[in-house]
Order: sequence, then C-alpha cells, then structure tokens
Amino acid sequence: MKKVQRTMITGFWVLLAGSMAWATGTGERQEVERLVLATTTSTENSGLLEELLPPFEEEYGVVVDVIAVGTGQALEIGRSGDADVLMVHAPALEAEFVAEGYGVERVYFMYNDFVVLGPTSDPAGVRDARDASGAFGAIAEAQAPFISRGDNSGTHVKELSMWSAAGEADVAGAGPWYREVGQGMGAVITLANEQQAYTLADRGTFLAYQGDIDLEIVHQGDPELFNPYGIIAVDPQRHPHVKVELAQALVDYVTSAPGQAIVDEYRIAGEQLFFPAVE
Amino acid sequence: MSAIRIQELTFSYADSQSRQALLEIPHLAISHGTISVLTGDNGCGKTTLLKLLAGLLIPSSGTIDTAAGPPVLVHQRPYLFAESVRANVAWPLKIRGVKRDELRERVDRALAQVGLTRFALRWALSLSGGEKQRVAIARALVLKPEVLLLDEPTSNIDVASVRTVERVLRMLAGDGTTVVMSTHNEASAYRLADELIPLAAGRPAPLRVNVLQGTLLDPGVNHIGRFRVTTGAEMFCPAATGSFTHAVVRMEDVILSQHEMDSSAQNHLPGTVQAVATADDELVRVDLDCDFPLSALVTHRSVEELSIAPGVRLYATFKASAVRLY
Amino acid sequence: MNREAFLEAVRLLLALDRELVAITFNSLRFALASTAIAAVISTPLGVLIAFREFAGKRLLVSAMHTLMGLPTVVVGLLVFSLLSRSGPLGGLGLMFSPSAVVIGQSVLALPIVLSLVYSGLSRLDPELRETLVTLGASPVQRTTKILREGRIAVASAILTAFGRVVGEVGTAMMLGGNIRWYTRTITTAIALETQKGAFALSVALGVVLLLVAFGVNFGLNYLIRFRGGTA
Repeated sequence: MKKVQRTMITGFWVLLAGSMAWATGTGERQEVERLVLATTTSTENSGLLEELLPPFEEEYGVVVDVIAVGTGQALEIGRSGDADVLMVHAPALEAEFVAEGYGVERVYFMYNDFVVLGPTSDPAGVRDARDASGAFGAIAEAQAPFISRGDNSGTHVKELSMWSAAGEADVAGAGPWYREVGQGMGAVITLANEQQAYTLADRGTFLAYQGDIDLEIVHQGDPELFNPYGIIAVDPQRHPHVKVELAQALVDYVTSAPGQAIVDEYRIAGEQLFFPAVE
Repeated sequence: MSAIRIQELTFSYADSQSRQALLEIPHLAISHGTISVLTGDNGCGKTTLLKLLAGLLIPSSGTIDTAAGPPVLVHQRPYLFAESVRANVAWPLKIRGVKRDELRERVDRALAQVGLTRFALRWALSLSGGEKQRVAIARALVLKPEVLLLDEPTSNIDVASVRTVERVLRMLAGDGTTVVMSTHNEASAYRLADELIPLAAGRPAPLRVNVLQGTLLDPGVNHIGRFRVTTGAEMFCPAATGSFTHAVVRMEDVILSQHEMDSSAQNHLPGTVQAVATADDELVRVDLDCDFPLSALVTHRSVEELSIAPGVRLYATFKASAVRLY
Repeated sequence: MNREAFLEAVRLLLALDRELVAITFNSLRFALASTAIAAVISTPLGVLIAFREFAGKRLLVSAMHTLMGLPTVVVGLLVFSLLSRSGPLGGLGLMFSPSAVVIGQSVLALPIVLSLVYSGLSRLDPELRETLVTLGASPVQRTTKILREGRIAVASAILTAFGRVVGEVGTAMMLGGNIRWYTRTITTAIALETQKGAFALSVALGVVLLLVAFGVNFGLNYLIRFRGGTA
C-alpha cells in the first residue's frame, strides 16, 4: 500500500511539474514568431481566415494568433497595443482609430453583405420594399418584432444607420417590438428564429445557420447593406513593440492577387460570401 | 548542581490587563533524577509553569536554567499523528535525520520502556487514553531528554493505565531522567513525588502535609492497621488491604504536647524539635524528628505556652484515621 | 441542435478528434498548472493563518472567503489590465498566451485553496503546533507535518480549486483570446462553437468537461467518505 501510494504521489508531482512547464508554453510555439490579429467573431466564424492565413503563415514562417471578439473590443485591443493588426468591418470606427493615431492606415480589402432575415410569412411585407431603407421602414410601421445585436458591433452599427435612413432614428425607445439583446450574431439569429422576428445578419453567419432555422432572406442586394472590411496595422509610434513589418506584410498579402483570389473563391454551402475590393 | 533552577520568575500574557502576574516564583530548584510533582487546583498555574520550563512561553522576567538540553513536554491530552504508533514515536528522530538503524533501535527501546512494543503497528488514534498517553511519552523519550515534563499524565486515563504510567515514570527517574509533572490526582502525586511543589494562584504554596514512604505492615484488625515507615518507625492507620507505599498526614492534624497524652488517638510518637518556622499570621510550622520527619502546624500561642524550640522533646499525637494511605 | 449534431459529437469523441484532444489538453494543463501554483503558495500560507493569532485575523479570513466567489470575468479583467501592453506588466508581452491564462486562473484558484486549507486546518487541534515545537521541529518541518496531518483537507482544497478552474470561461477567454490550438480551452471552445452554430464539437467538448467534473467530484467524495472528513 505504501509503495503504490508513494509512486502515485511522485507521479502526480511529476505530472504537475511537467504540465506547468508545458502550460507556460515551452513547446514549439515559443520558437515561432507570433503575429496577433484582432478581428470580429463573425469574421472568424465565417471560416475565411482558415483559408486566407495559412499561405501567409507558410511564406513568412510565422503563426497568426487570431483573437475573435466584438468590434469594439477588437479596436480596444488595438488601442492597448495587445494586437499587431486589426481586421474589422466598421468604417467609421476604423477611421476614428487611425485618426487618433493608433493605426497606420486603414486598407479596404473586401466586403460582404448583410441580409434582412424574417419569418416566411413576412407580416411586415418587407419583400415588397424597393430598397433597404424601405424594408426597415416597413418593419417599423408594422411594429413587427425585430431583434437587434445591441452590442456596438459592425452589424449593429449598420443596423442603426439603416433605421436612420428609414427615418426611424429613435428606434431604441420605439416599443416592445424592438429588442436589443447584446449578444453575438449566432445567438441573435437563434433568438429571432425562436420568436419568428426580423433581424439584420451578415450573410456568412446566416449561411452557417441556414439549415437549422425557419427564417428566410426577405431583403438583400442593396449597396447600402454592403459591409466593407478594413485591415489596419497598429501604429508603432504608439506602441513601439508591435510587429509592424510583419503586420504590413499581412496587409500587402490580403490585398495582393493571390490573397484576393482566396477571398473571391471562398464558399459556404456553395455560396460566395466575400467579395474582393482591390482592383 | 540542580537539573533546573528558577530565579525570580514572573509571567503574564502580553495582552494581560491585570497588574498581578499570572505566575510568580521567587526560587525553585529541582534535582537530577527526581520526580517533582506540581499540585494545586485548576488555574493555579501548573500548566503555565510547565510550558515555561518547556520553552513554549517566554518569562516576563527572571530566569530558568536547565543544566542539560531542552526539556520535552507531554501534553495533557497529547496530540498523536494520524499514523502508526511506530511512526509517531519515530518522527522526532526522523526530522533530526537520524539514520535508519539507530532510529529503529531507539524507537524499539522507547516503546519497550512504556510497554507498547506489541502496539507498534497499530493506528495511534485508535488506542485508549492511557495507551495514547504512553505513546506520547515514548515519543518524548526517544529524544533521550534529560528533563521530561508532563501535564496531568494520569488525569484523563483509565485506572489500569494510571499504574502503568506511574511505573514508567518511576523507572525513568530511576534511570536518571528528571521528571516534572503536574497533577490534580492526589494519589498519583503522593505515590510518585520525590518533591511536592504545591501552587496556589501562580505562587508557591506551603506544603501542609507529611508524606511518608513505607509499607502497610498489617491490614488491620478492628479497623486499625499498621504502617511502617522506611526508617523503621511504625504508626497506626486505617485498616486497608492492598499494597500502599505512602502514608499522608496533614500537618494540622498533628497535636503536640509536652507529655504523652491519654487520648482517643492511636498515634503517640515522641520526637525532638528540629525547626520552628512561622507559616503565616496564625500558624507556626514545627518540624520534629520522631525517627522520621514529622511536621505539625500549631498556633503562635501554643508555641509560647509549650516553649517550643529546637531541641525540645515533645509528643506528637494524631488519630489513626488521620492517616491516608496511597 | 439536432440528432445529426449529436451523432457527429459521438463520432468526434470516439475517434479522438485531433482538435478535441488538443483543446482538452489545453484545459487540463492550464488548470493543473494554475492549481499547482495556487497550492504551492496557499498551503503554507494556510498553515500560518490557521495556527497563529494576529491582529486583523478575522478580517483576513472574511476577505479570503469573499475572494473565493470572485466572478471569473472580474479576475480576467483585473489580470488583463495588468498584463496588457498598456498596463504595468505590459513589457512582459504575456497577453493572449498560455502564461496569461495560467496567471489568471492561479489568481482564481488561490483564494479557494487558501480558504479551504485554512478551514480544514483550523479544525485540527491547536495543540498540534505546540506539540511540534516541543518536539524540536523547525518551522519548515512543522508546516510539512501540519499539512500531512490535515492532508485530506488539503487534498480536497486543491481538488476543489481544480474543478472550479477547469470549468471556467471568463478568465481563459479574456486572457487567452481563445486562439486556436494555442489558448483554446474546452470552455472557450464551447462558447465559440455554440455561437457559430457548430453544435457537434460543442456537445463533444461538453461531454469531456462533464467527465472531468465527474472525475473531480468522485475524487472529492472518495477523500471525504473513505479517508475521513478533515484529517
């Protein structure tokens, strides 16, 4: 009994020490250079990066660490210098970021689009709207249930601008039909499905959920609903430690022909999601 | 050369509010190889004094000199480790890095000294109170201390174990260990003590009993027995059966007279006054030699009336029933 | 969430899908490391607090118990503000790394181990310390012996902390960034996969986490029932 116990106890300590060493990353990862990319959850969820990044990683012999958070948080991470490069889709906020001196330059490299989702029965008659602002106007007039991201994400920002365009800038206090949930895109789509409500979603996440929900695209295609993506290298003047050359290399890569080709060719369920922006 | 010498010792706890010290002992000397027994009511300072001797408490003033190494203390309800008896006893040696062979030998010896050899592999916490006490003593003995301190070693254990523990302590003292123990068990105190140290309210109290070693000669007839003191003298005591080694007579039960009295008391012993000393405001202590030391407590007036002084021959009288056998 | 997802989850589990295994390993090694750090710091500290009296002890004990229930996102936020490049320890460049996760989880685990070790040890007889002193033990020897005497309580404390840390998501997410292969743990992966609608992997991971939790609880029960409550 004593010997078994002793072996077990020694074994436990060895395991502990080993895992401590291992946990603090004395593995292969330490030798490879890391480039930290902060982006949004919807970008990461789309799976594009898993196609786009590997060729870059291979060519430069680096590993890109993708931190996927909300747009606001991604920009904050850039501001605090914890990331080397950002990839988000909120032009106004991106411009502000660069203007404040945190970013070198905002480079527009691709876009995807938002779609308006709704129940098949379409009680607000959104399908009859001529353009996106008309669609939103119809929903507001019918006071049909609408789920909003409510989290200052790119999607949310776009949604609010559409309400403004439809003349309903004051939508937050409009009534119980407008529900701000403060959650990610997937959760919002699921909620909207449960409540058979309307919502604004990026095409990528919709495609991921398409098979599991009863909502349909009730409006799409209006250029107003385009969602431009920018990539920004964090400014070394603010944070001298950032890997600015490597970040710049990534910027060059996504705007290069091969990078843009990957964007163009990416499919989910056979459908194109992203569109290259560089001529 | 004493094993322990205390000078002007006082002790109070650091946060104590009272102006009087908890413990105040002007002088105390304990000889090698003796058993000293601290007696007194609960709260009189016995445990505190033992802890001071053990070095667990620091005196507020005064000195404690222990000629030999640090004394080891056995607590009243000793804490035994959640291990075997052997492991308990071996631990103090293990932490001193004693080698395996020597360790085993010393542990075996200590276990033998307390009579627990058969218990070596038992789970210590499953033993009886008396057995646990002995394990704790063995655990202390294994360090071969010159001074062994014990707090109420026989107070919370079964009767059979009391005798065993007493036997162990007597044996240790015989081998040269100095034993200082506290007890409120009078019987143990009288049986064991080479030196009785009564305490009251943290101060040494005067001894007020005669403790005589000897044997019960004769269990007695008509409720009276005879006890022979080691020096050979005899006294009458209550009838009793069993082996008794000590007879105790309170000093105030001894009556002194110039002439032999006719009285209902059975003991009339002639003796010579050795010393006369004031005990307190009321009483004087008179030490006699009646072929064995015997002391009496009398009033100042009696001392005057009987002209009691060293060298005077007097009779000491006390009832057989005043003798308590242990 | 449908039958297909569930079946796919089972397939992932049985096939020991590479990513599933990697994620599980991450969870376990971060939790083990942070529990170990917390244990090394908190067990001797627990001994100290349990066996000594000092001014403000009651306040400290209260504080310890309160800190035990710190929300993981609060800890994450706290450590984030320290480790971020714009924070005081930014120069170490630890943000979004395994080290950051381990640091954060250690902070989570520390008060748990400390509090439980203290509680367990304070149920031991206070005479224990005096006994050890009188037998001539050095402070290190005393601490070791006290921990041995209270070993069931100590082991339970560590196991409890491990259980808490392995199942938390707030700290791991904020400090690790949920980076694939690198700092993605079971909990952060479940959060991500659920959000993506990829329920198969979520369910599989959930099963793994349940197994780990079950194991921890089993261990705790064994300790308490068969090896005696606190000592």
